[in-house]
Amino acid sequence: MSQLFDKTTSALGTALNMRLLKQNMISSNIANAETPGYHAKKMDFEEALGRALDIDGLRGMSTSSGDHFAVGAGSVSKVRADIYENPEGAINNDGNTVDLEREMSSLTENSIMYKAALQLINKKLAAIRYAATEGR
Amino acid sequence: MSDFVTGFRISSSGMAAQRMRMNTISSNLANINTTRTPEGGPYRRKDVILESMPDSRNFGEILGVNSPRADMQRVQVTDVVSDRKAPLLKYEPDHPDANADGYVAYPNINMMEEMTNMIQATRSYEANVQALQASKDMALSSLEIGR
Amino acid sequence: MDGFTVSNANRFLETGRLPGDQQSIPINSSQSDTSSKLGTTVGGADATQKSFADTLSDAIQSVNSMQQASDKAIQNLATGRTDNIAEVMVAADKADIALKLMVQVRNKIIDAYQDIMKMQV
Repeated sequence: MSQLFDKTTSALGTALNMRLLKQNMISSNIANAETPGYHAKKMDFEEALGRALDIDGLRGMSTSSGDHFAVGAGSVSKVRADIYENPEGAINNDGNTVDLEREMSSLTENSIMYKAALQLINKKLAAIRYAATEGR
Repeated sequence: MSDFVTGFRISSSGMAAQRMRMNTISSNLANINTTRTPEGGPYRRKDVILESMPDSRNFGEILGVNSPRADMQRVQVTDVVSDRKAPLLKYEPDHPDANADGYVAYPNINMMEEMTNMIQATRSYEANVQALQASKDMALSSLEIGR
Repeated sequence: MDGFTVSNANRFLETGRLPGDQQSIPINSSQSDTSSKLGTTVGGADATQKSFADTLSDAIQSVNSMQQASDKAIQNLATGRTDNIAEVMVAADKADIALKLMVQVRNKIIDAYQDIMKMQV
């Protein structure tokens, strides 16, 4: 039955989780925009998700044990986000590197991508539901 | 651990911190000419000290080694400090608070600086409100899954 | 209207031929090999006229490829390789509508079959 929900649906689910995490991180940056010594954080997950989806067609490596690192296809749900300090920030006198305008635009973009992923997952689930109820 | 409630808490901590900062700025502006205080001497300019703290509900989460969620930082006002700059002295021998030399000590508050800080605090507050709205928006729209 | 619409499907079931002129119009003309699809029937019996089974399997192939294209577009959006949200939404919608259409056609075919089976001979 798990074949019913394909790789794309799990990828969308992972994307939703990641976007939520990123939303909290951006909120954290904005809340600490005036805190002395606070360094703005940045998050990357698209690359890891693309590798997990095997989007380039490069074959992944198979794992035989739960401890092996999941590389390549098949590990969409185990994608981990990469959170690090943004090296591009200009440092103010009090050591704060948060650029408020950039955080606001990241906020908008993240919110829109979250909603897009939400709508797409809705569409996919609705299609399966339609097929299951035979459209009657 | 990373859910919408975390986002709400972080944004609301930012709003609270900026509101407290706004209160100190209002206090500074209101007391710009106050020469007499209960502690003695003129009013001293107050300022907030902001500090970021990891947002977690219990100690165990703070110590959680492999959770990237520990990176979510709230902001907190740890202290309200008084300025240590020397007060302005003006020569007014007839003032009731004049000292032996006829000088009155006024608070060393620059109105332009306070206004700029006020604008800054307002802007930060609005940014936090927008972050809260965006989080709320996302949370509400995820209720629509399956509708 | 050209193509495999629901009303055309009805007519197809009745006459064994798609509307338009006497040509056997391919379902997914934009995607298939044009040389084989231009097998036209000029006035009646022709060896290259496709059977109903072929038409149906072509339709299913077309829906499948639309679903795959939509999946690809969604994956590209999720991994940040494209930020053209409108394009992804349109592709997803196309696949959705194609699927719904196919389900309805299948329903009609089954109803037609059941109708026939009910006939007292």
